[in-house]
Amino acid sequence: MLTVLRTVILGVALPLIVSGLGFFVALFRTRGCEPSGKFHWAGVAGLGAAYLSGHVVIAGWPPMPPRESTHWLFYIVLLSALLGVVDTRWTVPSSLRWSLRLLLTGLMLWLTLQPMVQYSWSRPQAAAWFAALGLAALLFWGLVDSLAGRKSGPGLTLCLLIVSVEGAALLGLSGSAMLGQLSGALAAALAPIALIVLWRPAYSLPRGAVAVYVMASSALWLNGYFYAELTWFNALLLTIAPLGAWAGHARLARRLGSRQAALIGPALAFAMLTPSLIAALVQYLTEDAYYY
Amino acid sequence: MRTQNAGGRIFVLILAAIITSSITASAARTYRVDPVHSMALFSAKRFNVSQIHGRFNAISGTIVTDQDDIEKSSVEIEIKTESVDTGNGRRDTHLRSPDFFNVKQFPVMKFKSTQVKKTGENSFEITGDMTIHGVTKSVTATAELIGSSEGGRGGSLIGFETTFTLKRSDFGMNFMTGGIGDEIKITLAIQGLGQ
Repeated sequence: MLTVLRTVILGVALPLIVSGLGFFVALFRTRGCEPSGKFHWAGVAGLGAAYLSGHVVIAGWPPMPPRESTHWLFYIVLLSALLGVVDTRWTVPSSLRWSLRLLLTGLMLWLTLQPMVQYSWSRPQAAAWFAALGLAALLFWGLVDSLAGRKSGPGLTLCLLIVSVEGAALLGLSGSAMLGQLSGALAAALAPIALIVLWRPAYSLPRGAVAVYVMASSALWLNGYFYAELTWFNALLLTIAPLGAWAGHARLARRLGSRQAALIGPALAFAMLTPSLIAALVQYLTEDAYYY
Repeated sequence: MRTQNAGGRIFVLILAAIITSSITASAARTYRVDPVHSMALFSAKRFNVSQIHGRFNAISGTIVTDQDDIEKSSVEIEIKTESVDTGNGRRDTHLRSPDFFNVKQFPVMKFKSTQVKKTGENSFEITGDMTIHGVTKSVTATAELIGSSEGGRGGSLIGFETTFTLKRSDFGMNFMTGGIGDEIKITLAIQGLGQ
């Protein structure tokens, strides 16, 4: 039991500390640029390193060559963090940015779903799944990136934090404690930036951080749906909930103060996911008695 | 008279050929693993307090025995990981998940023998490649011949049993080794049906 608790605690504490350090450095480096609210790339590097450190504590170092989709998840997040750092540090032309996103999304889908291609899907099925998921992932990436670009204060970051926390619970209840813990590590990595933007609303989630979140969360929800028992409905809710942050930019919302408007999105995300979480919890508690 | 002698010689030759071919054929026998009368059982420690027992319900394979040259015998067993059964639905769901067997990504476990040695009247040392969770390791186990029969209602039958231990972390199954033991005890009780 102690080993389990240690893994869970370290899997949250370590990402929290690493991400906190990264964003502290980023905040310190951009103090002179505070009005612009633009983070130094150290924040994005810290976010990526935070998730990866939690991944190693929870699932161990991935072997070389990787054998399963959770091993590949480590390298997918590593690549997305590198892409995020480049995107934050330099001004990347839009065409190059989208090409890299397409490449990374395709790679993420292939590495995550390769066993489905090998054992479950026919060629037409595989083509249909890859096309649909690829399109959905790129659309989601574009929408979240657009939100980050609008400097929406705490709205988007809190949405992503809420989704990661509730995603962790839903994945755990879907039969995979490991996937739940990995989502928890992602939430812990996002927590410091969420605290910073609550304290200083001039700041918002750096655009480079969107790459890390989109790739990590997409791979986690896909693992949960295809390899554990996460329902398609919950996977869909987890995907669209962050887009609730758009509600903070609606005309009605702008009549409220900026702080109140920014909290509409997180409240919406919470309202979307919590009923599903409660239903999953009730089902878990009323089925066969089982505990670790 | 000459014709009778020639006919007799031909008859003897044919008889000799039949006897020779039947002797050659009976040296190696192939058996199909009978899934109804075969069992794959496992047990693991839980928090160093108790043992969790379970089984796999889908087992298949072939056994080839060679009475003249035992080293030419071979065993191939395949188990579907999805068939794991510990008597608790939620635990089985967890065992099938990416935390343990990851059945969608690794649907089968396999054992293929590379060497068979006779170590006693009814005991054999079998070495082979065990593939679990995408990792292949060499495993050696001592198997006991329970018995065999020819003819009868079930046809030709042969029965073996073996018990051995392996570490799941050797096969990349590292999750919760603090809570659920790393050493797994496996018992295979196999009945083969003659082909």
